[in-house]
Amino acid sequence: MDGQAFTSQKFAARLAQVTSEIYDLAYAQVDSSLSIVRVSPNISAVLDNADRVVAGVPLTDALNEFIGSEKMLYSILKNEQPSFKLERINRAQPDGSLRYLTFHVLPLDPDQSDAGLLVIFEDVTRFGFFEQNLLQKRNELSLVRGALAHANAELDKRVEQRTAELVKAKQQIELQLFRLQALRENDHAILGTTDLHVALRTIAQQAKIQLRVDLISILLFNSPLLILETIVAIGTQTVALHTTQIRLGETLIGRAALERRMLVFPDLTANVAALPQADKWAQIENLQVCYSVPLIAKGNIVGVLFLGNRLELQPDQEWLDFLETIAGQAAMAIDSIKVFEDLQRSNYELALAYNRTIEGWSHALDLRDKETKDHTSRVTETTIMLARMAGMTEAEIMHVKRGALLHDIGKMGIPDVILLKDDYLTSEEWDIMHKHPIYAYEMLFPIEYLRPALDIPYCHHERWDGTGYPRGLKGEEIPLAARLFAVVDVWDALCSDRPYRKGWSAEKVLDYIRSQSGTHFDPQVVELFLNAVTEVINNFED
Amino acid sequence: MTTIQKKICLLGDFGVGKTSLVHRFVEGRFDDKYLSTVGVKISRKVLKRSYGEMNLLVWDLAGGSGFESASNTYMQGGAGALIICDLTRYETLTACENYARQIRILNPGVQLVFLGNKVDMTKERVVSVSDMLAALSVFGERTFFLTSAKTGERVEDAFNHLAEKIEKGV
Repeated sequence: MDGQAFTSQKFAARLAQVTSEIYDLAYAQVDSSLSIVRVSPNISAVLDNADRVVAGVPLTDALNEFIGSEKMLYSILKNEQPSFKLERINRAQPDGSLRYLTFHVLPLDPDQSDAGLLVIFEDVTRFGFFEQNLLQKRNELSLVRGALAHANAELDKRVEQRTAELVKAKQQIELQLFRLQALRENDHAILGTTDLHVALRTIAQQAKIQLRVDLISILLFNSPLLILETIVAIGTQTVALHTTQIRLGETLIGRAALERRMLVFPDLTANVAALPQADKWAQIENLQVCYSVPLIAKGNIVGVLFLGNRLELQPDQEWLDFLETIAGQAAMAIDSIKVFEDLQRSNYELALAYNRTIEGWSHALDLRDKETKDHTSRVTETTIMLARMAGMTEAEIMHVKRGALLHDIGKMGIPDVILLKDDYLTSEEWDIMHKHPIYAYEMLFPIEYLRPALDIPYCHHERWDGTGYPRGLKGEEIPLAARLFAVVDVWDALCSDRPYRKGWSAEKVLDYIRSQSGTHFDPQVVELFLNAVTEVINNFED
Repeated sequence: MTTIQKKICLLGDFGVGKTSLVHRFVEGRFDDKYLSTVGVKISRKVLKRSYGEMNLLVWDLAGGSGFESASNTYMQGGAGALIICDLTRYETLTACENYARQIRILNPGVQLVFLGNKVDMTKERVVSVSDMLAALSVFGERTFFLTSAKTGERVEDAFNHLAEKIEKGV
């Protein structure tokens, strides 16, 4: 058979058969009413429901995939659209596997409208699986990437949050540290001074820095007058606050004291007109915000801590806590320093009472001993003068004074018959007489505040060379106060008139004292005495 | 007995759970394994209605990625669509707007119902109710469903709601 005998129709049929086999294609002819006219013989190889795809059945009944696409099908039938394709339709097979199909819809005759449709069914399962595999991997990768990005973003967010928390915590710690340092400085100020003004100024300064306010004032409560008086004010622009008399219960400050609670005035500028006359100073100071904190110590109002700011304040709890702590310190400072002042005053009064008592005893002794007029006061003053020259402290000198005033208190234990005897004393009587330093020791030692003053009453008859009494102390074993007093006592005795002799001249006494240097007296004390002799003589003559 | 036949599409990014929702709705089952859909899978579900039956042809379309558009040919003739986002992936909510816009252009009368799926994954959830409301307000919608294909939570409700909307044409 030659090629001419093979008709075009046969060629087309053969071509369709071969193409179908090679490419897994099947086809159907559809008429203008969208009903199937004929299908290719191999339709069952491509479509699993080929039994329903038969001549006479509407296309949409045979193939649900076309439901909803009728409009498109008609437009192809009318040659208004060149073609229509539904790609990769998933069809589950009875064995559970998937088959991917593509439906091509074309006009049967592109040159004639309503000639019918050619529907080609293509099994693209091989490509479908390949594509599914790729898509699966791409999507899984995207999901993992998305999850990773989400996790990273979450991590970044947490790191950012944590960093912010750490920065905030650091700032808070620094702030707390600064505030602790401020409180410590306040403690030092309170402990290191007895000057209330100094302590409160330190507290006010620290409060102003740490609380970042424009004005700080501390007022003391004058309880007899029931008024509050400014003792410290920092950051004021005028003298208004200093000159305002603040009565308890009146003004922003007085109310806090009376009500014994912190009062906050968050916006004074909004209520300027309503401010009472007594509070006009706050307006003069241009204050917008005020805090009045009562200072309470041991249950008593001792003052008010007042804070003012010329701009809005937004305090947090820590700020308020610090304010309360500062107020507590200020109250403690006022209370403790006042207690100290009271104690100091009592001490002064007690010391004064002691001294007057001692002076009284001393005078009584002079009267009994028939001592020369003002002997005790003279030797006391001269001994004090020498003690200062010798470099003794004022506290030591106080004991020197008491010791000098009571130097012969031991004579209280000597019977009058011996002490007041006009004649020479016998050896036994001298023995008794020499006991008066021991009596002094026994009398004064039990009195605690006079114990440090014992050096002179107990040791003023000791001699530098060790021949004195009562213990025969030698050299620097003898307390300095007693060594000083010994020279002064001899000087005053020799210069004074006695019933049995006239007082010696100053020159003679000085010669005598020089002669006793190193035997009776400490040579350095003698030198000191001679250096001060002009004043000593003046003292004696006075 | 009246039977009507309607095509509905499930639209949303890949992995939001479209196929799982169809499995849950049509077959009442759930499979944890993720299998990407290539092309389209058409399922049928008959809903009992007061007037008879609604033969619902459910087109489960391959999910896009981000702003990739789905094939227009699949969407043609759709009477309704479920626009689905994954509550654990915020970007899938953003993509919903594109899918909704795309199907509205092809089928101006299409009825839309929005779903936030995987509501059972509470710890991983990043899309809030207000996010959902903001997204669907663009389309004049105020109703959405928080569903779980895994537990079946509100899946049936969502499909039924879409069916009702199609019937009412609102």
